[in-house]
Amino acid sequence: MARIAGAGRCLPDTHLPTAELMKSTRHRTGIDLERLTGIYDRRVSSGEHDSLSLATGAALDCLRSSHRRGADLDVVINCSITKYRGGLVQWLEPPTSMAVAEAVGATRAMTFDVSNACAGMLTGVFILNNWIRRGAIERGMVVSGEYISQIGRNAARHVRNVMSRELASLTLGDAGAALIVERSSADEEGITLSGFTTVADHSRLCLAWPATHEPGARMFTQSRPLQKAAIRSTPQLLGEALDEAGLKIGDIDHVIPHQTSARAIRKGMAEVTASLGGEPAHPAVRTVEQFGNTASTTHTVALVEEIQAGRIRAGDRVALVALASGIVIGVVLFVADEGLVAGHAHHD
Amino acid sequence: MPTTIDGMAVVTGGWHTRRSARRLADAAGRAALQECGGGAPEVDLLVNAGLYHDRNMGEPALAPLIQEDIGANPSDPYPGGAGTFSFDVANGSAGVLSALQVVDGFVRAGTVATALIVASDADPGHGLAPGFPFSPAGGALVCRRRDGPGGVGRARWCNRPDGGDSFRTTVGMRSGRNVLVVDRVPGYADRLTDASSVAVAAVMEDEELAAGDVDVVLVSPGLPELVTGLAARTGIAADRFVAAAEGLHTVAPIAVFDAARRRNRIAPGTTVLLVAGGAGVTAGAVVYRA
Repeated sequence: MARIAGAGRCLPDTHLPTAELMKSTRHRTGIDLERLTGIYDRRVSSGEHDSLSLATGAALDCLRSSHRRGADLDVVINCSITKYRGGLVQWLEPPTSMAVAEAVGATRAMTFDVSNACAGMLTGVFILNNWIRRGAIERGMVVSGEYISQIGRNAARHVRNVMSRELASLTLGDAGAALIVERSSADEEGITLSGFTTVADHSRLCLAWPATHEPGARMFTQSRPLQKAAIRSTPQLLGEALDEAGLKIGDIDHVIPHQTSARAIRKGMAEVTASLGGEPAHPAVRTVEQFGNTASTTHTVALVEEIQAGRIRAGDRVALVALASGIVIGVVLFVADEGLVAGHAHHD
Repeated sequence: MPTTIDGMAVVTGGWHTRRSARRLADAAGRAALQECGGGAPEVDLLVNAGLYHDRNMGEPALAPLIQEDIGANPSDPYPGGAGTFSFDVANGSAGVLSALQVVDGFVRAGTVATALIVASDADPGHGLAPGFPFSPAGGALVCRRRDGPGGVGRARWCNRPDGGDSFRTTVGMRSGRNVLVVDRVPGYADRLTDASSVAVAAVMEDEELAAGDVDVVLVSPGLPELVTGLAARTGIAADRFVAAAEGLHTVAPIAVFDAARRRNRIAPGTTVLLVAGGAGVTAGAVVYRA
């Protein structure tokens, strides 16, 4: 069995309120982004951070809170979409994981990167869970640094109205996140299960590539079809995962969905409730209002937030629900144990 | 239960595919499945280890697009249907070896029965990679869960971090455009040789293999100095080595496997040592028993 032994994050100090971002648009858009999405703020790098430094900061926070050392890690997997180092230069190789491993002293760790859009980190957890269950490794880290707010800055120059395919780009914020997954003792429940599927018919609903003549990237999203497809498929996958684990939705204490917008999370959870005939013990976790959509890091950023606020406690059963471009739908079910929660106790 | 490689294919770029890593991966994936009598619907897991995407696309991963193209359960899931899960693994020219290790984890954990690994190298097109140095090619491996011994062993790795000084691929602004640039300096092969020989020594110790027990060594990338250096350091006879063709990158570990097979160097019972290195510098080695 495997457990989530540590969680860490790194948030830039600079706030970018939605009102300020919308003031910077080139065109008079008439969009009330805060009303549409619930997002009133996000953290952004003002040049002091790139993808690598955010990932490294989160990895160090994760090691500190879990009382582990870099040398304890058998594997480091970086799962970010953005791989910017030294400004807006995207590094395809060497893998970012190798630089993170070197920075945190994970000298004997095997390293490679995973790319699976906003489901990257949870895909990494799935990979580590498999290896740990069959005894191939003892402990690994999944890490991501998303310096992705530059997509929003680019979109602010191009968005004309609410129908723009770059509207979702304005919801993005920067963050780093890291999780440690390790072998657990037989009496600890840890990770109950992880399950993913890719509904590739919808693979072209959200596409991003480097901007042609501007630094950074641009992202084009068909938000409504994407949301419809997600709402259609998520309850079924979640229901099947719960059945396999012998659980009901009411047995889940906290659902942490991917953080796209407050409205999308409310709609999605309403569909889950209608489809599965119940709801989790607590309302779905939402941190999107204050941090925006931080891509592959959202679940971990929210997990740390909830633990630090004392809302997720030792023994609570948590469902991390992935929704990502691809489209990827997945769930990681786990029990937050004393070790994970205690690491952040000083924040209470 | 171990992972066995049941199907394999390598395709080269034609006029329609030479500027599309996606189309090359599609063609290789289809051919590999056809070779082993499989079909796309049996693929539970699709892992792309290629780095170069059409137009340098960053999202989504390339694997879901390949999944859709080849028709591997692309539709909304139906009750009880497991569907296909797709994602990319990136580790330069060693990515296929990382992907094989990831797939082996899924197979041995009982999560999947059939996996398709694809990799491809192509100029991203639209003038976005001036001087792109690699030959257009795609490769694919069909991996299945099988009873009994053999199959993919435990991989061992060695990192010799150099911050990308000896080899790096980046996308950034040059002369007012975001373009892909590959930088490689002399000395890269020496660093790869060092890391590769450490990984090989570790895996041979794990598997309790003497130099004479290894029937064939498949080396990527195809740098002549790497082969010479590895033969000298490992004590394995030089005639046991098969190197990937020069000019191949992420597809090299599949291409060298395919080349050895076509030269009848791999038969049932053959002990194959797969060695792959990449930028970083990192190198991995794994034993495969055919």
